[in-house]
Amino acid sequence: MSEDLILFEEFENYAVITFNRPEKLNALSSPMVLQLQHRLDECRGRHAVIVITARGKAFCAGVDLKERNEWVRKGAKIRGDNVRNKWYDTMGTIIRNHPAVFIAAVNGLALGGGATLVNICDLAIMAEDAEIGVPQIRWGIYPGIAGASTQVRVLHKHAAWPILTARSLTAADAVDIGMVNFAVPADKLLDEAKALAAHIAQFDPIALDWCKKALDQIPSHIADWSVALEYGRGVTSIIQDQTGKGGR
Amino acid sequence: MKTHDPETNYMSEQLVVLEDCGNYACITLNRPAKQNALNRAAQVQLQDILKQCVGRYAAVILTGAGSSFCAGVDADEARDGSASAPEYSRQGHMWSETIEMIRKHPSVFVAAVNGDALSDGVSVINVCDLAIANEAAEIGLPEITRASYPTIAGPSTQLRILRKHASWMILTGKRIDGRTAARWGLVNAAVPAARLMEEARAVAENIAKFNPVTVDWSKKAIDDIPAHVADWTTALEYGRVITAAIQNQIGKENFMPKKF
Repeated sequence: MSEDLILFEEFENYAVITFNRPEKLNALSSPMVLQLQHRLDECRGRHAVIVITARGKAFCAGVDLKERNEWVRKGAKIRGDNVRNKWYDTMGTIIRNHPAVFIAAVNGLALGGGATLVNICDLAIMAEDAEIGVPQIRWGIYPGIAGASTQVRVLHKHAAWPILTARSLTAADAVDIGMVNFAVPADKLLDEAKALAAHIAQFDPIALDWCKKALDQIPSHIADWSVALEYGRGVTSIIQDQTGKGGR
Repeated sequence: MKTHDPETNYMSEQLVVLEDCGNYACITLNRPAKQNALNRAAQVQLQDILKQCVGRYAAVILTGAGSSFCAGVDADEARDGSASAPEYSRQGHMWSETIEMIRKHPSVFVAAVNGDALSDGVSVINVCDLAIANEAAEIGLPEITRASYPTIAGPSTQLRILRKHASWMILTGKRIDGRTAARWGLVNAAVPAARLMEEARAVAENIAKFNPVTVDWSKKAIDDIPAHVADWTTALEYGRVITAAIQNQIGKENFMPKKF
């Protein structure tokens, strides 16, 4: 815990979380994911928008396989005591249920868990020379979290390509298939992400939180048109109730 | 509170115009001074026109008069007190009813997005089966700037485009242009303003040549898969049922090609 594997910077109304294990291509170790979880917890109710980025050439090379393999050799004890489970919780529930809007600023290579992170963030901006990949098929495995999360974000053929070919997506590919919102030159990435964060952070945090929830519900839980429209009216009523504003 | 009955005040005005083009129709939202925002009276007229079109046209074009497509449901009417609380509540219903009428309508709807489509103007695009936009038209969901979620336009957008794109529109409140809307699949194509109506009419004329029963069932199948039928094998079976229903209604001789 002595090392700062996660850097944290607070601005007026948003925060920037930076992965800081550049020599390991920001591969996720247990202490690193734990530090990330602490920072995310701190941000609750304090920041309406969080930018996630990384130092060095890579964005995130996924779960640290060395650590994972050692853990496998030692044998499983309890659920949650290895990096993969901690990461699964962070992606599966913590960021998803977090009230803040998340923006991924993909500065470089995003592999496996890095791709999952792009998928869980509400918005994503990418450096033009960065790449995203889910190459697990090379080692004879299916990208458990990264593959599944890609499948619920993009069209079928577009998800099948990186999963089945193990080929990385360029930034232009990722923009085309809608996995990220847009690509910018690497030296402009952080400024763009911060500008977007500041723009969103001016909005009502309660409205943002409920918009995020609605985005999560439709279409994954509510695929029916009429039910979706009724749900929309419900969300609007709740926001009006909580903010005390009688907007439309 | 003002005594004000929008229906009697506006009924004489043609807030929505129906043009009969033979086998297809063109409906124009006609309140250009208000960016074609749909007030109560306009919605009443639109609903009447939709009913008139049932069974008469295989395709219907929806467009706006002037430089806007549709600025959504008229917010001024709700704010200026001319709508009392219960009426406001009904108006909320009224808009989803109007949208539902288009969804369940047997005609194929083609949105010709001539200009800006904001807030519930976007739900009009979403409910139309096909859409062609002026490449310079601006499309947006500005609700978050007023601390709210786009009640009808939000969910309908989420059902039509990918998550990152829907997040962009709902969380940033920024507008996109017609070209971006085409890239994101919110509309089918973006064309220069001068060519818009010509393109939309060509699409409507083409669809109007097809068997209207087949068109209606196809619209229903598109609505059901994957929204209700997401499983592959079940979808294929459903497809066979749709085909059988069409054959049953229009007769095998009309269905089978004359020559192989």
